[in-house]
Amino acid sequence: MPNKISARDVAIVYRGKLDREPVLACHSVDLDVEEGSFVSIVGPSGCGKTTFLYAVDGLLPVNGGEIRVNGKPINGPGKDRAMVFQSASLLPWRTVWSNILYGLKLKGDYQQDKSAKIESLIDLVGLRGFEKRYPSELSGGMQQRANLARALAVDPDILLLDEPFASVDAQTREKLQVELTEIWARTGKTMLFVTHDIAEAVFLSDLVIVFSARPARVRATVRIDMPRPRSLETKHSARLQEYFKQVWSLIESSA
Amino acid sequence: MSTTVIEPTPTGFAKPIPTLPPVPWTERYFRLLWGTVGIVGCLMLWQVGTSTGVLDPLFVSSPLEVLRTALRILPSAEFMGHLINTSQSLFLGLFIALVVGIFVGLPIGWFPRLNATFEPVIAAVYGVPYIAFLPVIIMWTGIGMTSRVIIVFWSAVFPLIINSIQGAREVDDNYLRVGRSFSATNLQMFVTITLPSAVPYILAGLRTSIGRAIVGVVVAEFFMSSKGLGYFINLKANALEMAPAFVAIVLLALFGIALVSIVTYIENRFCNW
Repeated sequence: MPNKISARDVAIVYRGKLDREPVLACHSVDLDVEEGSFVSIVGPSGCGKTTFLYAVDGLLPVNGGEIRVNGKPINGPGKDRAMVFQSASLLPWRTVWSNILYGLKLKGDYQQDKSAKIESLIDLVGLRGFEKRYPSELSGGMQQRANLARALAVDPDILLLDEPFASVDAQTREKLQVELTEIWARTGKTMLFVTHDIAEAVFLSDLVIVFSARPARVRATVRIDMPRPRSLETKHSARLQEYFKQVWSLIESSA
Repeated sequence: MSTTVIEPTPTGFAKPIPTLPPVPWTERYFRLLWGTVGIVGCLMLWQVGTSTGVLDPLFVSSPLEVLRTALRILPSAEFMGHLINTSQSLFLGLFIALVVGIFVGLPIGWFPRLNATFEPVIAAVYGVPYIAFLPVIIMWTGIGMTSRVIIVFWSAVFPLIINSIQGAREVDDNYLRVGRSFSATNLQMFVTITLPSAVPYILAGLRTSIGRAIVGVVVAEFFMSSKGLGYFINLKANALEMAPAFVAIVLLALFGIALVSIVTYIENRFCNW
């Protein structure tokens, strides 16, 4: 399989507000994501994994090295990538329907199949009956379903997910994780998933990439050799526990 | 390892669910009830005070007298003329303030350089009581309709500018990232992210502006008009005709309440997220 994303010697300087000191978030990051694979990035908190994901999306410039998507160096956000943000990123003044439509609308995509597309996405993420609701009327889990649908609506090759289930309650989170693997299997997108939940990363991924403490480098890459489709049983299996311990000690030793 | 699950005996489920007690109307309409008591109470104190001679009706009139006078003068063409005159200055001034406030405020909030440059200037001018500019404005524009509109505009525009600045500044970074991630153009960012996030701030500014605009129009009419409710109040009070003066004062209060209610309605209708 060809590489969908490849990062070479990437350095990213993160600057928050104008009057803040810049921070070296990533230094010399090398990684590859194969087409159609599910790859997670884990690491100590504040290590710069979200910053790296933003850079892949084109939201932040790369200050050294290069990130290529589909073989071409990225130049800002593009149609081939879409981001599923952390909680509270749905536009609160738009209904669920209108939020999912948002990316398409910006593209000026007013084709006839627009509403059929939204309808099928609403079914895919399980939001039937909530189309007319505002985000504030939804539970955290429901909001992240809408967030996922909004990213899928623009039909990207690559889905970038930034701790999408971090603020969802534990039971809903496990359910959403299983559903995400199903949606991934059905759509065949390439997934790059950032999380601090090691069990989540192991459960979802083909490859778990462990970042070191800031400035982030790739500390190790762990191939997750567990059969698919994975279910809740996989989540609680001894095999997953082994991977969990392995990844945990890698993070611990780098923090 | 075996797990033990203890489930309750089914008798608990067999019991009928009791009907919940109804909420008494004194609790359901708590604020409305006591608010009415407050207003009616004050009016009664006023009435009793004048009836018993504690208050001099010559200076404070009385609620019943004000009501009688209202029924007499409200339909008159003369009073309507005053009312319409005041409304014209008020609405025109407020409308211009709203448009200017938004178009000046949002860019100043949005562009950091404009913000850093203009915020101290605006804070300084906002700190001056706006009525202090009255003589200056009279010198500039005379005492016609134009100058009254300018005074209403001047009274109302600063809360709108300041809230528009705030609205454009406080746009949540999460929403801005969403827009950029979906490759929004600058115009699309403004229309789909900045403007809708700023609307609640602008409406809150409009609320403050309405009160200030009403003060502005009345003061303007005190000094520089031969028409309008402000002129009318001044005229009648100087002639010790307190009842008609109070009619106009109550009308101004109702005016303010009505305008603020419209803003509240818009907020509830369109900003209920």
